[in-house]
Amino acid sequence: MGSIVTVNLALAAGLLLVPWLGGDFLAWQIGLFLLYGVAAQGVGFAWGRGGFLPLGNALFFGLGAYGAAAVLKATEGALWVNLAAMALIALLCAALAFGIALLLFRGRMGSGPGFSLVTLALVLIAAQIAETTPALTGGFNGFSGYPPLAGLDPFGGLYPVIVALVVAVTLSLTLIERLPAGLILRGLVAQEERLELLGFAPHRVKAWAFAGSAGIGALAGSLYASHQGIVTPQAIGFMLSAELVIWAAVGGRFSPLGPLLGAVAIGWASSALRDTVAWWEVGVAAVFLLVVLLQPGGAMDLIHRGIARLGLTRRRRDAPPLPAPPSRAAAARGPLRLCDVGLSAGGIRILDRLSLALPEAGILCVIGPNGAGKTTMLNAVTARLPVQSGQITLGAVSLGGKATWQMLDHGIARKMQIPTVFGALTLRENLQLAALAGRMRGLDALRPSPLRWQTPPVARLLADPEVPLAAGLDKDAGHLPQGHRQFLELAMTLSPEPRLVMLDEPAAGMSPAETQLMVRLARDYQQQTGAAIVVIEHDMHLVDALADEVAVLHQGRTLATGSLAEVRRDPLVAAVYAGGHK
Amino acid sequence: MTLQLEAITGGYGDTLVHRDLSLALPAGQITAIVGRNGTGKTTLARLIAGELPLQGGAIRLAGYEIGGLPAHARARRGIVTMPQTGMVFDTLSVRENLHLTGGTPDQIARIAQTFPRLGERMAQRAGSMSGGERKILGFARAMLGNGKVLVLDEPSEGVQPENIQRMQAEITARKAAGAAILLLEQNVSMIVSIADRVHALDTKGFTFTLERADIAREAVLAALEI
Repeated sequence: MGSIVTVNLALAAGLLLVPWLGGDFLAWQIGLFLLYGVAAQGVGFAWGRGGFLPLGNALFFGLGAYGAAAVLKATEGALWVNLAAMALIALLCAALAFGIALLLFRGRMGSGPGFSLVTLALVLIAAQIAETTPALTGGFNGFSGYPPLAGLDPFGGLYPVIVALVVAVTLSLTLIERLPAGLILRGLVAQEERLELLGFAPHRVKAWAFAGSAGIGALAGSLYASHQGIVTPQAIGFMLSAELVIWAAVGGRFSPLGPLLGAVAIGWASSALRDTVAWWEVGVAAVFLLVVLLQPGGAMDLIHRGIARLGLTRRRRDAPPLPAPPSRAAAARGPLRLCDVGLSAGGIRILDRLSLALPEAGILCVIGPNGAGKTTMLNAVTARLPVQSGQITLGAVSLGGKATWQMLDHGIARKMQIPTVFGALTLRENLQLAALAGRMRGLDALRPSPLRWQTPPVARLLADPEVPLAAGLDKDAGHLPQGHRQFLELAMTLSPEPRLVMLDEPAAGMSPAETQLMVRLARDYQQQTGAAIVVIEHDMHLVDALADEVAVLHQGRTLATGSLAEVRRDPLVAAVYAGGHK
Repeated sequence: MTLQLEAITGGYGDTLVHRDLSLALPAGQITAIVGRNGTGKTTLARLIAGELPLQGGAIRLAGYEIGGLPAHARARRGIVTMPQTGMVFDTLSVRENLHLTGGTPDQIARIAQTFPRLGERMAQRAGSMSGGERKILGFARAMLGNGKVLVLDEPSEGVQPENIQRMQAEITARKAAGAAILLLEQNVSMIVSIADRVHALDTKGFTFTLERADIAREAVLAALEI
């Protein structure tokens, strides 16, 4: 906390010294690039933190600028009215961005080029409209003839207001990184599928991030109107959008200060040197290329590394854990039933009128040949694949039409066949995210204390001397060997206290001793919570040790159910599956 | 051809996993490595394949130093690896996956008979197959072509027992044809059935070696508990 205050105080003091040391004209010049820098901070936030690259953020900067100019012209200087109107414009821009991102990200994984291309198209359309509607925007000549905000002189009084915005945005972005919201964003970039299984809607997380990015851009744009005294289509154009991206990249998109540094350093140097230094633009382009290729973290990354080398970073103390509030997943009730479920993918019928009734409590092991549809059955339940026919119900509730991220609120949690953990995050952060799952509500994302939540299942696992997690909590999960990843993923799966746990080959990549440990942990959880557990497994030792009931799947249908001994006696089963052990 | 690891050192950047590790993979033998999770079996496979840079020591294939070669050059010299995950091209069909190994049509037809599921699903996109089926396809890819050294990282994981039996037969056939085979497995039954030599690995290096006559379930399990 101390370092955040120090950095922002130093930022404010340094910027406020500019007019004293360099004069009002320099402050006016720097002020422009600070405003661009704030918009670039918005780009950096979406790109560096949210993992998706907006190519048209001048759209929001321009909307803020035109909107503020129109408000200033209409209200003639009533300060509070102006400020309220500007805030409203920023909120509207944020809402617009939220809607755009929801539409573009809904129902698909990843943050591929589609989003970037649509934002590029939108800013091109906006610039076209700005140029061709002179009645509204002043057209090519620009919108002018309005007073500056509160009569503040762009060469004097406006500058401290700009500095205030810079510090407010920098402080907010830095704080968000340390709050649950920041952790969720990092989880989104690290492993979207796991985040979704933990009950977070990836498209909504991205939409919030993009809304923040747009709102910041609009605020900067609204001060830009007062700073320039005229708003031209250039403020809403593609060129500015591209420059925001370059500044964010060169300065460092992963740090709140990076884009600001990039905009002020490159922007101001450009304006000063463009006319005197030959090939200046080529030089800037070359720097951009080098950053993209060699130094993806930008200048701030170099600075951070320098600080780390000097040993100036303080180790954060670990606050004592807090008991987590009750989980929504623990409240869900009802046995899971699949009724005549049909699912085809790529022209292959994988589930063929599959019917299976799970017990409300106890452990069901699902066995069957490779390709029988075992994992696909789980994919159908968690809506990873669309079901074409039949019904999946949980108690009285139909799961049809629900999305993967809604499953946790229905008490369903899943461990994947190939363990999915947040590789770029430490074990501790992985478990923090799992503690938020199913328990976080609304504004908890912006409070620090939920990061200290500890859940009963994770507390038990960490206290268990055999479980190989407690020793390396500050290591990156990506460096864990496969078998240990299984235990981390199990801990994250059990953390929200689900009523229905689906474990897909939980002992894959494990030694016999580790397999026994996995069996014990699954048994313990079942007995402590009375949950239902579905386990897909090939190792008959494990099935024998775990199963209260066994279901055999073959060619997308249930071939037999019963105790392990019963299904083994079944001649139909013997014909397709012998079973073995590790 | 024999593959010789001579005091190799490597890992992930500053985090070294192996220091001065030496191992011989003789031609015509199945060498298994057992060890708990985290002892660096997968890291070893990646160092041999050239996916991770060697930070010390040498890797010799029939006496010729290949430790400085990039992964594709090692593959061309006959080092074939089947990684633990990501062993197939998800967006290609089963047939395309098999053809990309350089296997002849006859070889492909034969492997598709051995694993009938592959034969039935030649046109299916590999990424839409189940986890176990992808493992089988990845294994089939490693068996095709002309690998002189086969590095198999947990081939049996998620595979039904009948198919593990078939895998064992395939590996034994490649051994008879003179390939040097490195088997990284947690499946003790598989190791006991086919391995000629078992090395026990812990975080400091190899602790002991079991020769063919001594390879029994209890001995291998003991190696795993170190």
